[in-house]
Amino acid sequence: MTREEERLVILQVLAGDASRFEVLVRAYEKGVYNLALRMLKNEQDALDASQEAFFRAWRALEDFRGDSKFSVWLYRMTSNICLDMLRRASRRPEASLTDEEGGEADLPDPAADPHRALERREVRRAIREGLDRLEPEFRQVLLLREMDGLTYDEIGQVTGLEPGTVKSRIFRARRKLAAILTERGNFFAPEPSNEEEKEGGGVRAQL
Amino acid sequence: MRKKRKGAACVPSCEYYQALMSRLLDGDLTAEEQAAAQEHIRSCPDCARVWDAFCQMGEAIRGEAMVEPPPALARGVMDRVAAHSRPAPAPIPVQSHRLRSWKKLAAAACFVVLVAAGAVTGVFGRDARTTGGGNTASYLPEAKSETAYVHLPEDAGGSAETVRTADPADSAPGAGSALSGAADSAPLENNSAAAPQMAPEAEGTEEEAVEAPEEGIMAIMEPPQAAADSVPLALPVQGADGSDAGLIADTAALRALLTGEALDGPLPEPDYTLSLDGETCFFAGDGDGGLLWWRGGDTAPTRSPASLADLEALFLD
Repeated sequence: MTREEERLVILQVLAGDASRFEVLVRAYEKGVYNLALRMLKNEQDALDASQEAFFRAWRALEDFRGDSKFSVWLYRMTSNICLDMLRRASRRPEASLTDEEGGEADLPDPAADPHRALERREVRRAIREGLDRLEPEFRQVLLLREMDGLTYDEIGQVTGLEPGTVKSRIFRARRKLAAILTERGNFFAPEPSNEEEKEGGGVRAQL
Repeated sequence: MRKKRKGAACVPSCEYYQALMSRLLDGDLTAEEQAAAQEHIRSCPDCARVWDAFCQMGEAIRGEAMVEPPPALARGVMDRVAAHSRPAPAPIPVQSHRLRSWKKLAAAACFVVLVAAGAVTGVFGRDARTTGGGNTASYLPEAKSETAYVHLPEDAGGSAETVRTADPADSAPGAGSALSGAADSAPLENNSAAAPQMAPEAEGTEEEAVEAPEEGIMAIMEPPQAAADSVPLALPVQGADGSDAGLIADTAALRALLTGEALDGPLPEPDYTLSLDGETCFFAGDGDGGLLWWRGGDTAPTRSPASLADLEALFLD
């Protein structure tokens, strides 16, 4: 959907044709749902948060000024809702977020792997698990950057952070993740040069 | 914008370079900074490892496929939106999102009413429009007295109706085939029930009709805000194949059909569908001239005391 089409649909909804809102839901449900799923790590919560985000967006549609992308505006609602849910959950004694140590028992332990060299698939799994252990505010910015491809400015709009803060938070998120991966096992083998050529070569070529 | 530390007397720390590396991945570095980061990665094994980790986590995250959202997501949102939509101020709200194109149809049909009325009174002829389109308001009373030209096919299969405009030259070729065509018929019926509902809509659409005639019907398909905000002039009816089967203005008569004896059997395929008071109503012939109807969510039809022909007689002709 082009931005112009999007604007037209928004005008139609604002003009009273609420059913047209479904066009926007269909266009962005995947991004919204995945953002919520990544933040909440629970399908039912992600569904609830996504629906709440769209519903709030519909109610607040008049306030959408169009100076940012609609998706970014929507992500911001989603993100805020998820953070609220996480905050509420963290006040509960059995909250998953404060349960990182206990939760670990459910996860396969890479250190138990007798082979030190991880296949790419295993690297990905390790990264996914590492992401899960990041604090939500760090996971959020990193995923908005890497998965949704948002710019620093756009992430700032989603999170309400200054672009400079976004920048440093993404950096810190990467460092934390690297630290988690290192601490958890043998992600960074003692022969980094080999590892670089094998895994990072393609990206290093950008340099 | 960028706060750099590279002018400092001390050698930048590895942390500084790692911050550059993070921004390098995000395309946020100047050429100068990029060269500095690159040089440092080459010369510092620790930072080379960190760079490698940064790259790999980016690849891994981007490699994660997004999950398809469950169908319940959109359905739940739209149910809530429908439940909270402000009720239309008129007797016949069309709110079901399943029938979302109908509002537009109603606006378009309203335009057709105007054009058709104009043809009868001679106002909307091409010449009149290009020379003095500003006076159409004075003809509105006559527009109210006419009805839309909706042709329902003889077979009750519910294929698309043809709504005919006054002057084929006024319709863009090929634009909106269901709505363009030659005017070869006179108004067939004067349905008094339609008139009061049409009036406000007609006023809202009048300017559009005058201002943009050369764009044909397609220009009208997106109603102006006023038209979208107001109420459909008559109930649009969908045929079996989802086509627009016509309009019903006499909702009192329509409601009178919605009685009868509840049946047990499964729901047949509907011949007609419409939205009444925010609920979807389905109609089907029983194969013997009788009329079955049910509402969205029903599991069995009701046999109306009326016949299929009674229903079809309500279509604006």
